[in-house]
Amino acid sequence: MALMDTSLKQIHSIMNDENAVLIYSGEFNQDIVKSMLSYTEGKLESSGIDDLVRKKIFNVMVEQLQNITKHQYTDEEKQVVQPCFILIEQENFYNLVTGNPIHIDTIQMVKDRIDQVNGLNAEELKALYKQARLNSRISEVGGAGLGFIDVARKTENKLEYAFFDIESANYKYFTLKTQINKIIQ
Amino acid sequence: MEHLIIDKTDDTPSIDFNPTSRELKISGRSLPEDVTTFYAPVLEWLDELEESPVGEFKFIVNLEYFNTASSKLILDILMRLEDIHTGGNNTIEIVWNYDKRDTDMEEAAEEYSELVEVPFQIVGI
Amino acid sequence: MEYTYTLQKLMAESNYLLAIRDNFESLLSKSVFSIVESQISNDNLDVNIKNRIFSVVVECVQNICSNDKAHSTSKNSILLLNKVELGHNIVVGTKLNTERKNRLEQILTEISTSSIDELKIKRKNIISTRATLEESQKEELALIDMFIRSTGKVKYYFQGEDGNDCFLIIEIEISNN
Repeated sequence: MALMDTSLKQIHSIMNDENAVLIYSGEFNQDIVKSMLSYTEGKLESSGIDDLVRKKIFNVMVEQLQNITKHQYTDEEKQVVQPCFILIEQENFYNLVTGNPIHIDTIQMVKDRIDQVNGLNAEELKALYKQARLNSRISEVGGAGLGFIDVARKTENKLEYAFFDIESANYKYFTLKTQINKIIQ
Repeated sequence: MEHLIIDKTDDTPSIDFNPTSRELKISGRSLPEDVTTFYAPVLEWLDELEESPVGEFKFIVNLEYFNTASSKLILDILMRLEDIHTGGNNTIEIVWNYDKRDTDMEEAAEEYSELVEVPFQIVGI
Repeated sequence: MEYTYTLQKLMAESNYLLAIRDNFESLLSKSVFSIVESQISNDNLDVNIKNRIFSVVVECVQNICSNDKAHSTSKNSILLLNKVELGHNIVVGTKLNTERKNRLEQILTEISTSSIDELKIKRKNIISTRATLEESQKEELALIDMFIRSTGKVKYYFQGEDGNDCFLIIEIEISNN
């Protein structure tokens, strides 16, 4: 491997530009998720972040990471691009960024759900959550329905997302960014 | 001499220096950043032993890993043991156990055995 | 959000599993060690190999990376782990001031031109002193350890001009044997 590896330089450069402190790119399973969570917890503890904020970040991370693990079908086409997790540390907040391949048939549903939760205030989100729980149409939204609502409630900030084309007829790369403030307003 | 017990942590080994059973045990892994602070009570205990006639001691090592900073302190301990052994009040026998698949650890033990004049057994487990 | 996909592509290109960019002070370093351990625990690797990878990461983080508590907001070091066909690579990078750059350059030149046996002798000499180790001796010991553990498969590179912009990158390869 060439030391003057341009990908190394670029990775470092982007990490600097975007204030990324951790990137994991590879297979996601229970153990990997546990280790990501434990890393973040450890880092937050040593940063002296408030307990409540730490819990929020932990819970949101669990949702995002479990969402990736849940949707890892054994589909060869899907393995074209691996999932990733990026932890970003800014002066006043953290961003949790996840990326994973998503089937094109699911895209509209995901878009709709995120746009919906982004447009609601705390009260409305609470009501929506209750409703979604009662309906428990889990199969319809593949478990991600409650997840987005829950994340929106905890982060108190808008969810940001984007879809990227990848070398696949049936999949795109779905990236989701959540923001948790270091100090609770 | 008191019984010195220090509990194991993620980055420091357990210390169990028992003057009654005359077994001095160090087990686990050693990677603290501040090795001097961690090992100070260990060295102090050994200094005290040098002054006190007690008998025949066994120093038993079961370390799975140690960082370079610890490698220096481990030699400091072994050199203290050499002082004790040749001092006249007590005798020391070192038993260094290692995972027999860990050839690096075997080599480390061998190198240490060459640096001190104390009966030194290296045992692959 | 494009950087997310770009980063994923770059990581995948070189088979990087993990990239950490931070100020590696002692509390954080424990988390770093444990995440690296979990990365290598799943593989069917020999105890030896796992210990070598772990050891290189520990020595890099504790002796090469910046761990300046006084400037904890600046993230001046990086650590990457990648899996290659025949083993693992650990890449460490850190910002340096001129004094440290000159010192490390001298140490690295000397070490990289020594044989493994010569390095073992150097190591013995450093730890045999009765005094507490100085910063430069700790660095030297750490680098010697990395060279020995990787049987010399170490590459290094100083980037940037003298002054505050100097960056050192070291790449250590641990073969699966």
